[in-house]
Amino acid sequence: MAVAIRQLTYAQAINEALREEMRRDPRVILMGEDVAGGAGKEHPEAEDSWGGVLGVTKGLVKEFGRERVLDTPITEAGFIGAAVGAAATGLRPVAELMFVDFFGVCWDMIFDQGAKLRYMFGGKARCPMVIRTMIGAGMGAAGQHSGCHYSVFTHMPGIKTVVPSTPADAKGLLSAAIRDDDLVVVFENKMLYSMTGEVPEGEYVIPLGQADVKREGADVTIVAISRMVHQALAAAEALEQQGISAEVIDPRTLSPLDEETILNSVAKTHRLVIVDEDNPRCSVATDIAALAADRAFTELDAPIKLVTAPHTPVPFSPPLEQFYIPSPERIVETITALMG
Amino acid sequence: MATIVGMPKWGLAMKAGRVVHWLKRPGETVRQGEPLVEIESEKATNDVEAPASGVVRWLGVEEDDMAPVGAPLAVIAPPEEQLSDEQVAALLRADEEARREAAKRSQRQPAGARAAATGAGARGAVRAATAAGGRVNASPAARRIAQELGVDLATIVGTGPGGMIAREDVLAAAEDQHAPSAGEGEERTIAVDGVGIHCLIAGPAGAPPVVFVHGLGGSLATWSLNLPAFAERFRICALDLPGAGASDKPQAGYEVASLADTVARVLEALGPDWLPANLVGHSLGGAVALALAGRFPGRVRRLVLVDSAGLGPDIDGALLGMMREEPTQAGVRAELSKFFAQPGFVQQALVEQMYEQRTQPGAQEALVKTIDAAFGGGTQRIDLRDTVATSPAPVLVVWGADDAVIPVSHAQAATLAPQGRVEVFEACGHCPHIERGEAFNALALSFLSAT
Repeated sequence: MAVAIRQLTYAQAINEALREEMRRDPRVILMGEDVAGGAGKEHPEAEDSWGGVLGVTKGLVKEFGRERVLDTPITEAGFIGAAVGAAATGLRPVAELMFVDFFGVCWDMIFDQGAKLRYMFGGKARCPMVIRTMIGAGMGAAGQHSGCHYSVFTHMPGIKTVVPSTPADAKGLLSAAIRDDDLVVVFENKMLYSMTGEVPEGEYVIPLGQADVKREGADVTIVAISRMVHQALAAAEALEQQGISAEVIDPRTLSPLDEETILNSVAKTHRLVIVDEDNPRCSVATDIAALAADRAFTELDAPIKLVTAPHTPVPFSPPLEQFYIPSPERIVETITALMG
Repeated sequence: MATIVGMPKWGLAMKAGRVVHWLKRPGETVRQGEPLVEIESEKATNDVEAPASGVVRWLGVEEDDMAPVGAPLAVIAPPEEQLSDEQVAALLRADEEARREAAKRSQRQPAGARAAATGAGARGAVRAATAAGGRVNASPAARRIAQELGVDLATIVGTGPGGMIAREDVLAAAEDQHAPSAGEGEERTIAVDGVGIHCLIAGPAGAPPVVFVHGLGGSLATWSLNLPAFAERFRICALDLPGAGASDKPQAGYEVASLADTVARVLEALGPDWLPANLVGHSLGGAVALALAGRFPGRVRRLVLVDSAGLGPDIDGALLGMMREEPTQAGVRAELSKFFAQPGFVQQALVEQMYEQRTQPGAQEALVKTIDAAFGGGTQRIDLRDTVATSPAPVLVVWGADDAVIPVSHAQAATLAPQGRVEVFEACGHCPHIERGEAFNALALSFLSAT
């Protein structure tokens, strides 16, 4: 079957997923700060409505109206809590937590309410909601608007965590998240919003828990998360010039984690490097390293290496911010040393 | 870059092969993997596939001529490469030189030192693999593979980061350590009371020993699909029983107990490294192995009995009758067809080889004496089930479900053993080590590797 392919940006792909899911299921609603925008103005449904701080939800209010695209006050505890309640009582809300760094003010609603509903009611209650949130350094947004923090969410049982790295993955994974009956947090890297890529026409879902081998290789496995997939692919290109063949695996979802794809790759290449922009302690990177150390120990031909951000907040200084983000050069350096 | 195609080596005993038929002629184009030439060895006739694509530039051996293993058979050149006759000759001289050097090297150096030298040379660095504390610096994967392949890490120089021994260092060392012994093997004749017993010995020195004993009418060639796999991990000795193969054919001494004594004496002569040995016996050879274990329990570590005699009364009397007849090729073919469930295994080369053995001076008389001693009256006259029941050595009994010579029901004897195990291969006849060669190897290797 031929599937038509066109180029969309990561932001357009997310917008399209939201639009299709809202058309498909009237229970799907959006809520968050300025997700519609223009409240109180004369023509609130105009094309120039904000559509979120970076315009990802632009135009949705025009099609679906303010009943389904809700601007909320700047009070994350309030609207994330409202979303949990809406989900528990039959809607499928998609709430936008503008920057993931703000999770502290609504953490109780997320991990102690939403994430535990199904468990504490013995499966009789559900929380079919999605939180979309922005992550990532590189935009000069300083320490309170630039973190990744998906490791914190992945640590908590009851939360599914999704980290799309391409427009096509962003659309398919967000659609799957909205159709999922549990609390799913989709981490959108703000540095990827303008990135274009091929996206199939029409509705499709990418099942949660399926990693994607973004590049096949024989000598070393690089597991890279979100934007780091692109850093890893650039590093793999450079390594190829040196005769080193790197395989790049994008887990796409961190909870559930596709352990088999990672372990199979390690069994093939015998070397593992994890590239992660999140802070390194008690992180997804250390978790994947532990997985390989535990279940693929005798396949390893070299120590497992992590290329991550340092254990600091994201610096505002532009040179330091660039230094903070794992670069292709650092990945190449690490792998070259690993190959001996 | 032109490619030289050499005479292949199929099995330990192969020293030369005969070119039956060239499937490609000079000037013809050949694709990689396409059959190039039909080669006949003692055991089989097979196609050799082209190792590279290109144009056949030179053929070195005429049809029906023999050539030793490794000798150049053909040169394949890429289509764009115009090779002059001088260039082909230079290529062949360089190849001969390289083979001579390799042969010299493999005789001169111990395996470990050779692995170290090549490992270091290949990556251009020599580093000590042993850390100051004396612990070998090796990766987890290298440690696992070294254990599986029986390679001593202390003999390897690491080429990984910081001199760490990596997986590939162990694989290279293992290849170096095992290739000459597994590939070559050594033929010896050991005299037991003046009777020469022909043996093939191979495998790494110091590895645990395994002794192979063939069945009635056979020779050590029956194990040709098995020995290379075993010689990778074990020190192996496959012998021709008295009266069979290339061993002497004395007037007497064909009772199972005498045959067992002879095998025990061969092991003594081979030296202390061969005690205790693992024994693998097929058919009559199984009974010989069992008898040896019964008489000298301390000399046997583990026993593999393949469609073995000695475990019950039944045997195909018609087959024994055929074997008593003066051998003809048709007769040998008819006998062999009883050995396999799948008729494809009875190939002309095998028939000819068996016929040749049977027509050696004294061979037929020896065979008849062996039949009389073990199976006179068309029934098994030796019952070694008590030996199985009291065997301190673990026993693996392997059988083909469709064995037409000795029925599979005899495999039940394994349940008598204190440590017994039975494996039956479906749709398989009297020779699972041939008909199910790879599966048999995996099974027996795993059984013999257990501690």
